[in-house]
Amino acid sequence: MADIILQLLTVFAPIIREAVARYYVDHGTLPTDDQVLNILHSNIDKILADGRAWKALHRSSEK
Amino acid sequence: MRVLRSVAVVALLAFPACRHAPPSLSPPGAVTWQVNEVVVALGIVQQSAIGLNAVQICDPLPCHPVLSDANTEIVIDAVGDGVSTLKRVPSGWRGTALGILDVIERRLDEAGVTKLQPYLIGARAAILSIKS
Repeated sequence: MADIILQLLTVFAPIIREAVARYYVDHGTLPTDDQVLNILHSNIDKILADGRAWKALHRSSEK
Repeated sequence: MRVLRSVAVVALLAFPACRHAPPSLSPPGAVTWQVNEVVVALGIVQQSAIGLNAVQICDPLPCHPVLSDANTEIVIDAVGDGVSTLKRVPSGWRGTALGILDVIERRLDEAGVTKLQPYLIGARAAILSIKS
């Protein structure tokens, strides 16, 4: 179990680092209100889409 | 011991320091930044659940996902509700996000709690580290 967690961490580490860093790296400047709002909406949309995709896959595999 | 190390790694990766909003943001923009941070933390919990669900273990047989479909669906539903609420009502982001993690922990079965605990602990710590 711990091995699996460690394997997953190696997958998620770049995602986490990217998420933390992207606010500061956009065009080499600090982010504006609008940029942060766009990032937030994009992250929310992605989370909802990932959830929907998992459910669609599992619904279709149950048939 | 290795699980504890995993928790420590999650903690170190997810929140290297107590984080303030960038000075370029207005007060409402700073709230948006904070909400985004907690959304990222909740998203990582969901990605972890989906990832654990995709991994099959065969000891003991029959082969089965590390995290069951039922537990994965609980996480997806709670995180989806949580981020939708945060989009509509950004104020009170910390309470909302911590509440979502509590809901997940309450609804998971015992095996699910055991498997997702490192991620839940990491997400809680990440959310608590964000300066309001």
